[in-house]
Amino acid sequence: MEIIKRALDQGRNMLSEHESKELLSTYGIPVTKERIVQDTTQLKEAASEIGYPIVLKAHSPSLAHKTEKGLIRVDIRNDQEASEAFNEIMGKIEGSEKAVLVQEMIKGQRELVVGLTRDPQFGPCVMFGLGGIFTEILKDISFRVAPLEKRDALEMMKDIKGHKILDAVRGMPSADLDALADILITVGRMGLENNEIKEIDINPLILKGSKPVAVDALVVLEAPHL
Amino acid sequence: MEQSPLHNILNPKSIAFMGGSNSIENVGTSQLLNIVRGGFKGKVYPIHPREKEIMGLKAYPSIMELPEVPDVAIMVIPNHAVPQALEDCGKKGIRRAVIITAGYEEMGAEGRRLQQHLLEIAKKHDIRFLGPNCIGVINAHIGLNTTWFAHLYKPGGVGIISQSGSYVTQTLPYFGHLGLGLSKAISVGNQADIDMVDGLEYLGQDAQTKAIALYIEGLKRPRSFLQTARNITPRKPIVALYVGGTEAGRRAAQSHTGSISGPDELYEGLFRQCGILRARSLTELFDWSLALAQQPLPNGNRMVVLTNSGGPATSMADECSRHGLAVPPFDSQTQERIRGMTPDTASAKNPIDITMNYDLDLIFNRLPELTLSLKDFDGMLFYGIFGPIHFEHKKTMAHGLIHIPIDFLRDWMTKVCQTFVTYPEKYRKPILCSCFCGREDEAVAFLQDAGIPVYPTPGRAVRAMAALWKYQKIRKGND
Repeated sequence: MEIIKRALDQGRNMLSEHESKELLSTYGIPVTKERIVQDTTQLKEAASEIGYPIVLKAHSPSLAHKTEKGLIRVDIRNDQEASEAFNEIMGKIEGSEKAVLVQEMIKGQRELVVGLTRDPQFGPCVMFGLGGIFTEILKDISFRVAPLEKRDALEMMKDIKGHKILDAVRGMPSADLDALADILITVGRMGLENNEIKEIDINPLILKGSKPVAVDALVVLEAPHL
Repeated sequence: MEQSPLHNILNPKSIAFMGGSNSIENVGTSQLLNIVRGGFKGKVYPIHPREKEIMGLKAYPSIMELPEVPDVAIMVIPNHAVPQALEDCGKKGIRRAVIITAGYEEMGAEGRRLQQHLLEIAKKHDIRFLGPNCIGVINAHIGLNTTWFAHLYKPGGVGIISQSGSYVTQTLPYFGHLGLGLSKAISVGNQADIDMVDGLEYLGQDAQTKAIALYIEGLKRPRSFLQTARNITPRKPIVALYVGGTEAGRRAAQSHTGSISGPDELYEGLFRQCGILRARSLTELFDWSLALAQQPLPNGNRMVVLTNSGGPATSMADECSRHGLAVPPFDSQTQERIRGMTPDTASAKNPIDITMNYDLDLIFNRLPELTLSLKDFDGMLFYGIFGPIHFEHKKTMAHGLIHIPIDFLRDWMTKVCQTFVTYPEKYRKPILCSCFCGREDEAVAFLQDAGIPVYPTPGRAVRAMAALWKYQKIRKGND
């Protein structure tokens, strides 16, 4: 994979959010519409192309856990709010390659997490669970060893205590389990096909209606031992 | 299909034993004694540098002097002597070994080097071995026991593979109390060569093993384990207890996924993926394996709770509700029939509580026959065994005051129990009992020996039933 190779060649051990999503996208996983911008002109273009409301996030080739650092502004509704948010975020980023990621705002109340970890003995393992801030607080998660069969993917979704949020609840449609299963199977396959991938976080994976969309993503790399 | 390396270790026609003497001071002697006197019918060749005879058997100064090539060599010798012994096995043509000796991988870098050396010797001579740092094997059906505790109990259908030798040695009396019969037990030790996956493959194929219990501290080949276990669980239940690192095993990780994926979470996922029932304690591991090996699976979760006592009735119903089992009320017609059969003080709704009385026919035969034949119920939890020990105690107390017809009561109890034990097969529904008396009560021993588990507390019986139901769901592919 070109994206992975480029990052490793640059001595990085992670992909940016944007690169991570490009990688997911090449595997057919649905991701947010987004563009990287460096000035307010580009910002306006991107915003009109994507359509308000939008989300702005700091962009950097080596930046994880942006929420904790106050580098995200959500639900931006017009050009003025966009410029303000852009300037604020740019002011907080250090380094020379400053940029901001302009992203469609996915509306959905149900946040999930899908992940991958490479265990020295188990090999690539796929994780599913409640996403967003709940991932680490509740640890309502389940694992399977890759490769996953469809049955594994469906069962691991049922394993979590909060699995009922995937049903039709409070006026929301039931989650597209086939689409979710495809994502789980695919993430496992990404681990098996790319030895350089050490970890993947898709968090949150938001249900837009019934359809899952990767809203934030992180791919951690490890140069293969020669 | 290729024969398992464990076949000859568990079914040897002849054994060379290194490390036993005529002194009970060394552990090897106890182990040899169990082989010689445990019922094993094959040839046993003690190897000893000085002794001419051990336990009445001719002893040989070395492997090389043996008059035939034994199927397996068992070594309980100091670890500096193991490499030469293994070399001798190779030269003699012995292709299987059990290395009980400790002081290898478990002792750090130097031990790892010594273990690697053993592997190299074994490879050179095409030897497959169990251990080191294990306690060997038991094949209860042929009286083979290489461990250092005597196996004095009835064989059965539970096969155990353990990373702890203690759990197939020091647990033997415990299994005896529980009425748990072993088919085979394999102590895998450091798993330098033969490992848990080999054991699983073997027990998966073994006709005498009806349920498999695993004690795991860490798998060497989790991915092979997944494939193997997954092929077994649709036809044979596996229960596993994993006791390993929780927080301690966590690695530095940059992602949430990485930081949250401790070994405990990965094992949880692995077991679910395999269709393995995960026990959370040794008690559950053995309780569940016992029920799975001996009882039919329930076709649903609806339980009859039959008791002669209110507390156990309530405890069982309460445990049922917290472990996925239901205790629905009987239909009004059935309740009417039960009321017609039981004392006025009884409860006929489910749980049935016939209250304290000595109508053995009622609790052991008439009520089970009525309720087990109901198509809306899938199994029975039973509390109400007051067997001969109860009468004996009464007799002691009543001596000279009241006549207790003890022989009559004993015969009656035997008669009702003989019929009771036929019900699981007759109705194709599981029965699990609980009784605060153990096998010191003949009735408990009788039921256990006839294949109906009797647990020491109501809750343990219920949780074992829940395991049967869970396995049924796994087997049907909808858990």
